[in-house]
Amino acid sequence: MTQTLDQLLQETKEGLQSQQYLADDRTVATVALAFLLEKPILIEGPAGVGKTELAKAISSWKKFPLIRLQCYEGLDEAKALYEWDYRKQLLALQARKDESQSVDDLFSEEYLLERPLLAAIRANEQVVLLIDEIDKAEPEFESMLLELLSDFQVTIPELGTIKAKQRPIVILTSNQMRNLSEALRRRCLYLYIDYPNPKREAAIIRARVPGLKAQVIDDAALALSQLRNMDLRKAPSVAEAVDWAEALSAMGIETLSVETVLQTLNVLIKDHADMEEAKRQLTRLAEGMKK
Amino acid sequence: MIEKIVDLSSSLRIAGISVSISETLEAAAVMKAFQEPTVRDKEKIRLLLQACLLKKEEQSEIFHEQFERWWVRWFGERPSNVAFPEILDTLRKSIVNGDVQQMEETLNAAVANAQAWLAEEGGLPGQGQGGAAGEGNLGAPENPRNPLLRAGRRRAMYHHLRALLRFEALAQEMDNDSNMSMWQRQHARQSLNKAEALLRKTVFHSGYATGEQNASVRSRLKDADEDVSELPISKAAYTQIQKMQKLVPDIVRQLSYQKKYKDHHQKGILHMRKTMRKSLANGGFPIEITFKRKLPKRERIAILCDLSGSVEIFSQFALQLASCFSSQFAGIACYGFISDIDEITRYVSREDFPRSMSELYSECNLVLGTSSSDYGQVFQQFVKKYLHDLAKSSSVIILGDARNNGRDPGLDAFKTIKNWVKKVYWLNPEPASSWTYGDSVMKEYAEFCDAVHPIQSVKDLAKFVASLRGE
Repeated sequence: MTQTLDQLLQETKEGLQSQQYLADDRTVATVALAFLLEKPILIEGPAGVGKTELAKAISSWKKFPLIRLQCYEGLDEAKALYEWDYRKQLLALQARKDESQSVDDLFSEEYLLERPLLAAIRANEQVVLLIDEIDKAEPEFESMLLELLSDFQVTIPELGTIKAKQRPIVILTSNQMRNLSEALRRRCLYLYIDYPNPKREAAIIRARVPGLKAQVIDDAALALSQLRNMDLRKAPSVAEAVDWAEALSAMGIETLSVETVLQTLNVLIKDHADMEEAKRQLTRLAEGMKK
Repeated sequence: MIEKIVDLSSSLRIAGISVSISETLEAAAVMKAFQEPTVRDKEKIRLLLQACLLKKEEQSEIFHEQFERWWVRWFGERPSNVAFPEILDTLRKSIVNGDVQQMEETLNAAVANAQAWLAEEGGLPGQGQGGAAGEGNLGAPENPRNPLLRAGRRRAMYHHLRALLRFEALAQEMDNDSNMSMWQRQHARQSLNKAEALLRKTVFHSGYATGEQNASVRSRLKDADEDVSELPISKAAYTQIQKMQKLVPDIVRQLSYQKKYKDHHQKGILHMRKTMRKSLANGGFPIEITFKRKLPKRERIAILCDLSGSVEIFSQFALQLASCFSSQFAGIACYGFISDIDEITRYVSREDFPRSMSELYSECNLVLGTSSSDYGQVFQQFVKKYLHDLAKSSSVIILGDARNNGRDPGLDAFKTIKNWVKKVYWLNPEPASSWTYGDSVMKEYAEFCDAVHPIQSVKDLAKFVASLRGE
């Protein structure tokens, strides 16, 4: 049994790696557990650390289709779960006006419009269901999800309860705009993704931007960790770091000096006040280094 | 195995992490894979259990602490047989790499090592070679119950370990290493600082077996559980104020949820689509008629915060409230005053609000003539400068103690405000009983306010918000 769990961990690690997603041990363990226990994963963390990317990586690694539900304020059942196709129902009523047929079948599969959640439940093959930025939706919507997350079933009053044929792999992401309910947390495995440490960030950049010199990559990763320590309003994300590395590669940079960082800072920082602050601190750093 | 998991989850519960039964079951299912766990499996088990049992990142520290103790309880020894040269080597590597986790483990091992030495040999390792001089009585069989002696021993251990681990030499070495790029050097310096901090923490906070930590956990727990909603704001300590400030956003948010569902049954324009859909249930006859909801009217609120010294703590709280309002609603204007009034919306509506405070105080014109609060002058200035920008349908919320230092309360200006806007609310940090004492002019203003609420605790604020919602 120990062997199989180990194998699963190893498999997960390699699988994610094959999609160019370099996961840390905690991510690997959580994803492996999600497979083992068939539980949803709740991912929290700052913006731009690859929360959504993880769902995409799992989907392309397992070759499962990805069904994505983007949450926003005002999202309701009709947009997330199902809706009756009332136009079709109306037409059907019109069409059979003369025949004295019963109207029982008006609420049948034929008139049901699938929305992402129902589609994930009724899919014939296993899918990855990504519920993105759940914190943006109202608490009411969160409560609606509970049945889906714990039993993988939804109840439609007119049709009854629909159970999942294949349990989907559910991934919820949150940017911690508000606190999620305990009930939701309890039903999920929890994963907090933070900014990667310099070593892992260097590995990520190496995988995505192979053209850059190894020394520059290492220095860039350390420079990024410096920038993130600077107490900026919006720290540079991993995606921005990769963009930056591409820019450095295109510029043909051989050694990463403070001047180069200052010149290319607009790729990493998108806020005026942050930019000023970062420039000030980097300049001070350069002066401190010369002494 | 099951009893071990039950033990872990119950100790987590005691420490303040609410672990449910289903989560415990999951953890047990995972642990089935490990019949005879060894030290090599420890990190793996930690990660797996973490995913099952820990559901909030804020609690991760408690989790790791409890896990560590649980591990020692059931699976025994911490690896303390690592000798000092090796520890030094690993530590150096982890500092250069900036690997905090490894740093922590190494330091833990170092402290455990030193403690073991202390217990067996009655002295610290390497002491004979002139380690920490002048701390000769380290291992003396003193009364362990005496906290002063215990603290002294820890301090001695800290100095000794610090000397043994040679932080200064390490820093020197790094500075002289010409192979390092400037980024690496900077990074190494920072992680060296981090290592020193960690050493302090490990020495002064370790004590798995002594029960000292139990006490610290218990007091932390008490802090976490403390209900601050009824605590008077004026008497709160710094940490309590912070906790209170965390409660404010949720209270204000309630107001916005309510707004959306208000006026649900208000009649308006016919909602064609919904009416048709409902009619289907009746074979196409529109029996139930649905109307479009009227859009809730956009609220326009002006918030006036007293920022003078007499209400210092309360003004922190008031600004926090203003910040929450401006992040929840669109039409919010915030003003700060002492003896002159200035618009502060741009400071409080920023995402990094608490950090913009110093700019607020330095850049705004809050003082005119006197540095203590002068409500009369403030209201006159407000009428002159800002009142005509406010829509007639807006509300004004004033946060202040109405202590006017014996000056003219400027009731005419206040009346003008009242007549211009729809509602005026006053939130006063003092209890109603003291409104007539001293230089308070609250009673005189109260006549012209739609409501005056004493706000002494977070609960009072919740009451005020509930009254706005019409409950």
